[in-house]
Parts: sequence; structure tokens; C-alpha cells
Amino acid sequence: MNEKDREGSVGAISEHAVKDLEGDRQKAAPSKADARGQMPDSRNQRAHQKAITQGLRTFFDAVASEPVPDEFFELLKKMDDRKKDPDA
Amino acid sequence: MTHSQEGTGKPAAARPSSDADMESFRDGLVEMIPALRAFARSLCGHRDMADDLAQEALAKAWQARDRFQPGTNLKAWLFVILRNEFYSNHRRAKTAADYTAAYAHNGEGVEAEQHAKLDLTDLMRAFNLLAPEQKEALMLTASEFSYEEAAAICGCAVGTIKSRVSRARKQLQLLVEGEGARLPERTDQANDLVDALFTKLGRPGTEKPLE
Repeated sequence: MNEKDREGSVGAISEHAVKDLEGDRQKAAPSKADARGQMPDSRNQRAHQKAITQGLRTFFDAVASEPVPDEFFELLKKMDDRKKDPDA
Repeated sequence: MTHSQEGTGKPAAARPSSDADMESFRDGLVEMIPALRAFARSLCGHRDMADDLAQEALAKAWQARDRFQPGTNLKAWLFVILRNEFYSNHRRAKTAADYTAAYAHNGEGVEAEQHAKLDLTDLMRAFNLLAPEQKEALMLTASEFSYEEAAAICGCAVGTIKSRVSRARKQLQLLVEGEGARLPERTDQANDLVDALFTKLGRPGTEKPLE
């Protein structure tokens, strides 16, 4: 897979995407630069990054909270059996 | 590209391993299965393929149990093994897409109606399109690992992880903003990613049957 092909430009950030991803917890960037003189784009960028991180964490936790399929326990049992009888 | 890792590639000095050590190592493995499954799913997307991968990693970890140093980070050690397995399988199988095609029978009918969830599913569909190196950098740092820990797991420099995360975020942004224009048709692989979210969010009708 060629990751360099799609790296070129970064478009403007979609505010509604950020809001939707973050729900009410994450305010979209204000329309003016903040007290430290940062441009809205930069704040918006950070909000978007937070949204991505939050979304990925939600995904990771969702999979991790699924019940562990039986095959895993069958595998563990096989490993235990092999330990008891290394020649098996 | 190197994927050599501390703890898996090099033989460590033989240490006496007590039954108690083995017992706690085994308990540790069991405890880490959910995280292994989650990391595997984010790397390969497809549920069955990911669970195969997680089981291979588990078996490899058991074989290499004498090389684990008690008191060090078991999860990181297991993730190293899992990603090594992933990359060797990945090369062998050429692409994950081949594997996915073989499972093309399942996964129809996931439709998101609510905007918030739609965007989360778009995020995961976009995530699925990233290069594996970007996926792991992003997922490791998003889950709980620092840049330094992620770099140790991936066997690369911290700066490399940082730039992968940054590039991956930019790409995700582009893909998600494309409002579907840049995202391909929904695939089984992507559906497996979003199914987990739907299950988490308690949406009816999208649960997979128990296998």
C-alpha cells in the first residue's frame, strides 16, 4: 500500500464532523483566533485530532469488551495439556 | 523495514521459571486476550482474520514464555508478537483483501441512521484504508501507549511514530470529510469494524450471531 500517495494536502476541517464525533463534550472551534493568537484552524485541528483519538478508543474498547470467543479458551486448554505432556 | 523486537527475536538467558511464575504468566495471557483481539481487529479489520491472528499471537507467546521478563509490560510484549505475526502473515497472504474476499458472504445490511454513529462508522471505514504502519501507530497511541512505548512496540524511532500518527490523522480527516466520495463501498472488513461500535452503542439488529 502506498501511503505517500494520499498525503498531499489537508483540506479544511468539517465542523459538523467534529461535533458529531465528540458529541457535546467537544466544542467546535470558535470563529476568532484565541487569546494566544492561534488561528481557528489550529484549534479546529486539535479538536479534530481529539475526535479521532476518541473514536479510535471507543472502537478499541468496544472490541475489547466483546465476550472472548470459545476458540481462545480451547487454545489455552491445548497449551495446558501440552505443558503437562510435552511429548503430546 | 525491520520488525525485530526486543523480547521476541533474541534468546534471553535461561532463567529458572517456577510454577508460580508460569501460573501468573498464564493468568496474564488470559487477561490480555481482549486487548489482543482489539489490536488485531484494528490491524486486519476482518473479525475472523483478527481472531485467527490473536490466537496465533497467543500461541507464539506461550511458546516464548521463557523469554518474558516478569515485571515488564506484558501487554506491550504481546503486542510485539502480534504485530510480528501480522506482518509475516500479511506478506504471505499479499493483502488482507484476499482474505476478506474469501469471507464475502457475511456483513450485509449495516446501515447507520444516526449522524453521530454514521460519522463514527465513517471514521472506522476510513481507518481501514490506512497503511498498517499508520493503523498501528494511531491505535497504539490512541489506546493507552505513549509515543515512546508505541515506538518500542513497533521497533522504530519515536519520531517515526509521531510522523505516522500525524500523517494518518491527516488522511483520516481527508477521507471522513470526503463525505463518502473518497470512501469506497462498504466492505465486510469495514463492517466488522463498525459492528463492534454498534454493539457497544447498543444498536439493535447489527449484532453478529454468536459463533
